[in-house]
Amino acid sequence: MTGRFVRSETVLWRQTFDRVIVLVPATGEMLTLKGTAVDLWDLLEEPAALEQVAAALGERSGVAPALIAADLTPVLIDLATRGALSKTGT
Amino acid sequence: MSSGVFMADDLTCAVAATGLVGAARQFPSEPLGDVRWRALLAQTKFHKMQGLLAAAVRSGALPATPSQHDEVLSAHAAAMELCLQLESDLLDLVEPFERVGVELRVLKGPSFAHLDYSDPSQRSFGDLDLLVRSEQYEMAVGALADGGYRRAFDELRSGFDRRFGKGANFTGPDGQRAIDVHRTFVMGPFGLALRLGDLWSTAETFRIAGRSFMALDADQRFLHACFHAAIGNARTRLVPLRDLAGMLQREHRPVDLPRVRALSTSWQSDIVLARAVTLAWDAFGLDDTELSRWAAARAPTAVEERSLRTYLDPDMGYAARCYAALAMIRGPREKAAFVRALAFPDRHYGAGRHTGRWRRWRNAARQISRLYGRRSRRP
Repeated sequence: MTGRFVRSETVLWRQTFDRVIVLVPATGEMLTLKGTAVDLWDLLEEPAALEQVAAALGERSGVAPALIAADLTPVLIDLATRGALSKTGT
Repeated sequence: MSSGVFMADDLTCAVAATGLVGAARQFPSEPLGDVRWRALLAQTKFHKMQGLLAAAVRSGALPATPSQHDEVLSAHAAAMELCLQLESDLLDLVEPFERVGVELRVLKGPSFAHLDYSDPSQRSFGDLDLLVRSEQYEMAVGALADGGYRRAFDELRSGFDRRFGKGANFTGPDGQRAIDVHRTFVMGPFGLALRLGDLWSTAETFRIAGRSFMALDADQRFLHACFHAAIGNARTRLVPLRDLAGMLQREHRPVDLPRVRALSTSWQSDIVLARAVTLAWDAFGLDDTELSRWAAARAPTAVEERSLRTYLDPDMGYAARCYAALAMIRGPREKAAFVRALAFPDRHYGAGRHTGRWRRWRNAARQISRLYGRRSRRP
């Protein structure tokens, strides 16, 4: 997957002790991110490509980045489709 | 044990003190039994302190069972969902207000959360409070009405709010979430004595969802927290006390106490500042400072005592507060307009709350007589 992902600047969000809650004002949809998705949200404060995110999450969890990348792809696409993430560049 | 002033027990005060340096409040060393836990959770929700309770549990300061731990995380998440919905409402209001040229300052909730807490998830809120200029007040009300917001209560008399009132409360199009539109901090003598131009001469900004919003500057936010703590409710809420105590401990952009004192003197609200600081020190058991010693020693004058009673004595009400406010209104014409509006409100005013003009007058006369009669029944 090409391109870099970053938290959308136009969403509202709060991080609590076990989750990140994201409200997409354009649609009114409220998303709750838990577990590894909280780490993902943390990493995407700055734009990052799939491979970079997978490598960083792999370092945190000890799981092979290739395995993480396979799981991560639909999550990134879903969050971008819902407006929680923006996709930048190539 | 419940404190008459705080409407909260020691344990709830300990939750409110979470994160404050030097607070003397202690948590028990074992998880609470079910009855005490239920009571604490209910109090925490009432005081909108779910974030502070979660922080206390998460840090281990307040031991909790696994189910209590899960409950507090869920309660915190629910509180944050409401905050995000309210911030979304705030985003929606920008465009209609900008369209008619109404300038805004965001008060309390979102501005305190983003500017005065190290983590905005520590500060819950249940409504939005917006400050508008007196001369733009009616345009702001019109913009809200166009957006489907409805006033909770009718205006006493046309133009009264803009000239003498605090503002008005509105319910959103969904009938649930609320907005308070202010032109001053509180109604009554302390709200009328406040120099409103000061609130518009400076500002601080915060960003949500990529947009900038203006808030009061740090010293005026501190004073607003003091107003809310000292006279916002007859029985003091803990969150405004936590707000002001946290602001005083903030390391970046510290509160400028000489400026705060100068502003409070010029707003004739030294006694409000003193009461708020004293309540905060009592609630959290903080170490004495120059400010707390000044506050403890600052006794109210007779006029201040009467003004305070109109906010705090359960036997007082709107009439007594308006009577006390009369002294703060400048010029005979303005005073006459104020009295005329109170004595002869618009026909629709008070529908459902008063059974008739005579009963309103009698109720007002009783309150005013009590104000000059026996001693305070301040809680």
